[in-house]
Amino acid sequence: MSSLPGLLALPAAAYLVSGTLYLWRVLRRSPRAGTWGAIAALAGALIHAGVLVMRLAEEPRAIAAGVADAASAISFVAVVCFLIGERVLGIGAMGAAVMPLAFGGLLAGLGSSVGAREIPEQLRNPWFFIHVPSALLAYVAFAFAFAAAALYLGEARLLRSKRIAAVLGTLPPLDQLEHLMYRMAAFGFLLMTVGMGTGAVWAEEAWHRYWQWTPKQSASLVTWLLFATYLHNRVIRGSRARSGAWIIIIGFVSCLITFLAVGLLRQDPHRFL
Amino acid sequence: MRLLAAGVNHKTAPIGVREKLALHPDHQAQVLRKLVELPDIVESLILSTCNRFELYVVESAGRADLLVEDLVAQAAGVGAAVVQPHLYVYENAEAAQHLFEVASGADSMVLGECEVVGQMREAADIARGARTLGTVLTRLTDRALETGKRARSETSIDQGCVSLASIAVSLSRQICGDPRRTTVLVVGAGGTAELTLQRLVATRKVFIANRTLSRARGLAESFGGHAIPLSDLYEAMVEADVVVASTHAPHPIIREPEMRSVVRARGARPLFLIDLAVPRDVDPAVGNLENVFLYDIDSLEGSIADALRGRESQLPRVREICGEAAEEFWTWAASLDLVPTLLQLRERAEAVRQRELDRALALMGELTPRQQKHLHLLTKRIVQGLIHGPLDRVRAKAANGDGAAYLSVLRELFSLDESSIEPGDRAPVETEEDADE
Repeated sequence: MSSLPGLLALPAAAYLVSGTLYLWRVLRRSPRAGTWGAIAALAGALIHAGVLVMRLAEEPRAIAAGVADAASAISFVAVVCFLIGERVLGIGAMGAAVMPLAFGGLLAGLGSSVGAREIPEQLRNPWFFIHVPSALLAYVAFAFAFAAAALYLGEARLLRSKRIAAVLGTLPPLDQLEHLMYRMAAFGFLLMTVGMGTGAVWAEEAWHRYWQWTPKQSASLVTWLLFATYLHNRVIRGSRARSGAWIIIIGFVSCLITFLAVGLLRQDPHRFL
Repeated sequence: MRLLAAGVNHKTAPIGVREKLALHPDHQAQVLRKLVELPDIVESLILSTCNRFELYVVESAGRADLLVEDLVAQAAGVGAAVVQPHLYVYENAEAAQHLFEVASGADSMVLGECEVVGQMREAADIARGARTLGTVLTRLTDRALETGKRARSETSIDQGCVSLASIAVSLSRQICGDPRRTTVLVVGAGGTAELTLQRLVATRKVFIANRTLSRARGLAESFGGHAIPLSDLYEAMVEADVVVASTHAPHPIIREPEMRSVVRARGARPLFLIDLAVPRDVDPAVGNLENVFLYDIDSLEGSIADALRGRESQLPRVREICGEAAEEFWTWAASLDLVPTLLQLRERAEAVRQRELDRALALMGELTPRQQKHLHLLTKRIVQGLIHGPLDRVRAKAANGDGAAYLSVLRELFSLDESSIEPGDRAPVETEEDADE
């Protein structure tokens, strides 16, 4: 195993600083903290990109080599998406949730990267290029849905208790957060469906069974059902946003369990992820 | 040279007095020109708004007996007795600081408001048009506008909403997002409704519901909205994003049981309800429904008071910024008087140096270019070493307001007022004699 994962401590530190600054921006209503937070995030992302490129040059299938690499890759995608979103949509306040998540992703990855692991033979399959990226991107979308839902709940509470000054100019419009949460959940759900479908086909090819009720598969199913419930309520029943936001938050927690906890159990074919 | 600021504002004079002083922009240019026709007044500027009447003049002679209240009274076209009890007068750096604070909104009735910036720009334009804005006041107004901008960006003196209309607009944007996609429903067609509509016109669609439909129609026509009868209120509420209620009804007209079904029909969209009526138009229980954000006049005014307190806490920092800028400005302005004298002194020194150098060179015969150069540098350094320190100190004294005294001493000691006859005339004669030898 190379020393590259160790280099990830650099972007991790940058993301930690950035996340703290974004939290400061929201809690202390300081726009300047947000500017510095963006600079820290950008600096971290540039270093991170360098490390990722070197890692991929080493091993093109690296993102599936273990939780460390997968977490690193999706943290990177999340940070880049956030920086673009901040520019285009003015959703800087979401950095208070997204940047700590990105830091947590790298940290969890660093913690689990001890011990070298071979990339198994089964992964050398074309399905890999659909199954793994779509599953990982679904996690990124869910992270954004989670960030929007958390902000939504906080903002709704502040508006209800008439603490206007804490909200105005600091948080994105409530309606925008609701839309973002809905779109991200829908997008993530779509990707996850693709991921699970291709996974089943691939499993049939590799092990001659579509579904084995492994911990990872079961947890994925729970996550998938939670988001399906949210989308069903939102589209068919026109549910209110607050209950929806709570389902999204639970769904994201379930997604974290799927990704990290089950990935670390190392007892099933997904032990590499 | 003195910079004087004198005037009255909302803190020192009641509206009855301010009214009398207020000057119409059309007359302002004429008054400004009359002021600079007075002896020793070289520049003038008038800032006349509904909250203040202020006169800024640059006076060249430093006359202590100048009656400022007469000047202000003359500018305003009233008797001095009207002005005198309410007048404040600032001089030099303090005058600059005052204008800077005015530009920052720190002296305004509503702290941090930025209307005063436009008014100041306008006043400067009028004075420029009347050709009464010279070097000093041009720089002063430029610096004032810059400082006002800086104070607003470095402190939060302009943060938070401090009027009912602005808070309603900001909150509707915060809750419902882009105003161009927002539908507004106004309940009641009185004066309050009209005022609110003026601020919310940029919205996608406007409904006006009123008990007497004809009044709603009148208002709808002037704002491009749709008039609806009160019986269709809840239907319109399903489509609306922002509802402003301001009827004179004695009982709530927007009730909780009906609103339950409205909220259900609206799905995930938030509803922002503003109740400006007393007694209230909206049953307070409606505010407990999910996705409904109900603000009555008390909660809006409470947050206005909060915002004003927040602005007030910024005053010391704003004053500090203005003080720094005023100091810097005055250091520059005070040295303006010195400029001709300092130039003259420097020319005199240079003439003496050149004369003596030429003489010495003529006496020394053939020198290498290198030697000539060093001789040149040597004399230059001696002259500079002698005059640099004193001149710097005179500049510093001028910034502290003692400029005039030092200036006259300087002119006296170096006999600068004698139009440089003595040393300057003798010099060429001597040089010619030397050359003849």
